[in-house]
Amino acid sequence: MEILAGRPGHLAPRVMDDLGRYRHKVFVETLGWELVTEEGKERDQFDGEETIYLAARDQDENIIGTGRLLPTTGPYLLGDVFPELMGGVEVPRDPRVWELSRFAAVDFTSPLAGALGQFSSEVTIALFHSALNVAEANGAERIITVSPLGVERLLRRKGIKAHRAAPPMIVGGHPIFACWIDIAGSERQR
Amino acid sequence: MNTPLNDGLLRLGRQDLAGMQLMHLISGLDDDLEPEASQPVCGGSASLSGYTEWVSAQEPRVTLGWDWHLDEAATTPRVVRLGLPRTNVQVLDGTDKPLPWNESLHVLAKFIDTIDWNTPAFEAVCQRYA
Repeated sequence: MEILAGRPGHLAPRVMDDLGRYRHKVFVETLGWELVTEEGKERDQFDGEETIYLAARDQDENIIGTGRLLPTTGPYLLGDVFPELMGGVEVPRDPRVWELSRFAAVDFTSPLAGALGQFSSEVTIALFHSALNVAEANGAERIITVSPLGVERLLRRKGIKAHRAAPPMIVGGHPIFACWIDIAGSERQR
Repeated sequence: MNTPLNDGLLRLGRQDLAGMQLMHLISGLDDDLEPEASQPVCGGSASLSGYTEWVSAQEPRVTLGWDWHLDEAATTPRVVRLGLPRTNVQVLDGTDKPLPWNESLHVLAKFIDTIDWNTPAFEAVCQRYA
C-alpha cells in the first residue's frame, strides 16, 4: 500500500480522477449521501487548488482510501455547512486548525467491501496518521472533522487523541459530531 | 500567532457534575453489528452491544456517550456500561486544575454509574430496532 498526498497540481490527473470516482462509489453509491456528482465523480465546493488530498492505493494502484485536508482559514465543510455541530461556539478560523473531510477507507477489491461501512479497512489508521503528518507539516496543531460517532472508538483504540466539540446531532438519521484531534498528543507513524 | 489554541473542552468541577441533569439523546447497536442480520430481540438472550448518547439539559452543553453491552447473566435484561465515556468535558480537581485526560474520563464514568441511564437506553434501542 502507498499513500499519496498533495494538492491537485502535485498529483497526477489520473489520481484525481480515480479519487473522484472512488468518492462517488463510497459516499454516493455505498452510503447514499446526496452529493453533487459529475460523470461518475463526486466533487463539491471545497475541492479546489489549495485542497490537499490523500489517496491510499493498493499494489495495483486501486484507490482503497481517501481523505481531504483544508485549512480553516478558508471555506470548509464544518465551517460552512455544519457550524451547528460546534454547539453554539464559533467555528475555528485559525491556520493552526485544519479540517479533515471526505475520509473513507473501503477496499472495493475485497469481497467484504461495504459490509462494515466507511471505515472497514485497516488502511484507516495509516490514512489517519498520514493526515496528521501532512496537516502538521502545513502548520496545523489540531484537526477538526465532521464524523460519525463510531470514529471516536476507533481513534481511541489507535492512540489518537480526540474529543468531541459539542453534542452529536442527528443528520439524515445518523448521529454525527465535530471531532477535535490533537496532533501532538496522538501516537502515530511518521 | 502565540495565543494558546482553544482545545474546545468544557472544564467542570465535580460539584458541577453532581448538579447536572442529563437527557437521553440517542442509543443504538454497534455499527458493525448488522441488526437485520442478527435479528436482535429485546428481552431475548442475544449478545448485544451498542452505544448511548446523553446531553446536559442546561448550558453549557455537555455531551457524554459510552458503550454498553447486554448483561446476559442478569435475571432480567439489563445493559451495563462498557469502557470509558466520550465527551467534551475535562473535570477539574479541587484546585481547579484540569485532571489528566484519562483520570477525568474515570471520574465521568463514575458519575455515569450514579445515574439511571440503563432503562432509557435499553428501551430506546428496543424501540429503534423493533
